[in-house]
Amino acid sequence: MSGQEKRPYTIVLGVIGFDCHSVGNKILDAFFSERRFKVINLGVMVSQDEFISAAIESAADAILVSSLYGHGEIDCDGLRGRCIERGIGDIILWVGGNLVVGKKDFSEVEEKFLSMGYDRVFPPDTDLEKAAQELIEAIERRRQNKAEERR
Amino acid sequence: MAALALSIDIGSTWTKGILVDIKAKRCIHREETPTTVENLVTGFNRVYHALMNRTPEQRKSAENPEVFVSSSAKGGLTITAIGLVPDLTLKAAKMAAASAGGKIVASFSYKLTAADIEAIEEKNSDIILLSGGTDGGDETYVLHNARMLAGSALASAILYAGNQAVRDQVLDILENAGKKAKATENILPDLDSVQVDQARQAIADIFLERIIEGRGLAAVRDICSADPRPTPAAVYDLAGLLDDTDEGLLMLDMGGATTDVYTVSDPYGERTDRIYRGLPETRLKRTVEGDLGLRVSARFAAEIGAAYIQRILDNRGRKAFEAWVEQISGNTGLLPLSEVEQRSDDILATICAAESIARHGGSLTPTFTPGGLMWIQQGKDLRRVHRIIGSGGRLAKPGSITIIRSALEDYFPAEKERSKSSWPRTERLMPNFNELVYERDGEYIIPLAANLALVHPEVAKALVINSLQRE
Repeated sequence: MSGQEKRPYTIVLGVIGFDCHSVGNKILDAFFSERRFKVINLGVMVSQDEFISAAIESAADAILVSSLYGHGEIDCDGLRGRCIERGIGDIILWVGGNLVVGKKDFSEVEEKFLSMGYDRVFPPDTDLEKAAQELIEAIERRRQNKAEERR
Repeated sequence: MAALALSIDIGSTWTKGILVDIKAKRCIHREETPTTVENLVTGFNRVYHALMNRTPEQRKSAENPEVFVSSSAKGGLTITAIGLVPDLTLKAAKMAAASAGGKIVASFSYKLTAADIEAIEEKNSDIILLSGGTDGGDETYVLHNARMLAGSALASAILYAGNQAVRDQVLDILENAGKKAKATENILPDLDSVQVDQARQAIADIFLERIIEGRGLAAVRDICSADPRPTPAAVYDLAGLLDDTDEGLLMLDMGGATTDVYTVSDPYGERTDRIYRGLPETRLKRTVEGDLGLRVSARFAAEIGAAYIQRILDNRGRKAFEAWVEQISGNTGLLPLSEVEQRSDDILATICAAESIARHGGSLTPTFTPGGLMWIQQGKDLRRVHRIIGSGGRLAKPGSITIIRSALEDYFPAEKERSKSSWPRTERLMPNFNELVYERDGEYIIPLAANLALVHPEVAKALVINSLQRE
């Protein structure tokens, strides 16, 4: 692809399942949009397949899944497998929010979601600047890997 | 319409047949002979002519009876299933293979390795069912797997039922390597719909070409009124006919090598505190377990049921059981004579029944949400089954209801304690024995009636209903 360097970092955002907490979603949208990301924001109540369809159509670099209402574990499981079947198995998958009900040790939660195939798991209080920096690095790495594969 | 029909099933041990009066929906005569493995036609002809001789003279002249044939001889129709993600295309591939009457001898997911290819070559199944990727989805895995199969020494028929975007490419790769390849529609065109019909038809075609023609049954095909079918494919269609009252039906067919489970029931629970996860389940479903059987697979079954055996038998009982398993593994034609042998055989049957039903069905896992306790359902809910029909081997004999009772009530101790414990735990979605009617196919009518299921559904149904024995 020509002019690949200029292609903006493309991310798909959304709140998964039947969750309709929209405030965090809007903050993420505004934050990433201001920092040269191309944001495909699907809003609230997004199904796993909607995330994947949007990522395929937009040739996205990453999917950022939010969940606030405590069903995160049920809603998020199986997303990686579905990404693989639909041809974007290597996409960057991040998840964050109030992922489980009750006070659980975050390392436990993190381990659970990592084992589901997510690359990074974030608690409710996350420094977005740092996260954005990390995301850029991850996207650059993935793009480099893809370029090498093509060669 | 001819008023008479012949139905013949060439099984692995017996070739059986019935002469049916279509108008009266009744069996006039039955015949059986040991299956002639060296030449299947010999045994078939024996039964065919015996039945033809029973055709009343005055009717013989007027019309030729219709002839329907099924076969599961020589190991049946063996299939190796290949998919991408285990819970997605591989699961869909297994569903398609089982519904087509195949016996799944091996299954593989993700990228095939050299060791996988060796294993596939060793199994040497009749058909390799290759799937992977939704339509427009992943291409890399199926292309890799097609290349691996192309480089193998396999002579099996390869059926491609994956991502249609690379259908021609996959066929080219296989055909250029001299493989016999065919393509059909994707069994998982998108992630929410499993489509088995096209694959079933393609598998039936391959069955005709490779099994019927290939195993010397071409002459049989010529006298048939409809194409010969794999026995389980015919039984699958029959099962679909039998549940017209919507009560939920399970048919259990236990043989020496495999145990088959067919269900016709609503796959989802009625309760609103459930969330369903996974590929959609079908109302009509077949699974086949190649490691659960009463003779050829007795050793595997005994291993699988080790915990149960440990729990119900004392030291002496276990020794007797092990000795019996040893004996029948060496001589698969043995029948139990003593009381101890009968008990051992019953235990094996209980293991096969419990494990095969558990694998066919799904589970419920508790999860806590802001809305309170919710249950995640995976797989099919068999609590909606209220009628079981047992057939084959031990289940055809009187008193087989005791096997079903042990399998559903005693085999999994956790299920029994469910009601006592207040803390929710993962549960198997098995039928509830207290809510069941149990009938057995004492006369082995099911596979024979099944042959008529597509052309004469009402006759097929009547034959089964009139011969089942309720326990």
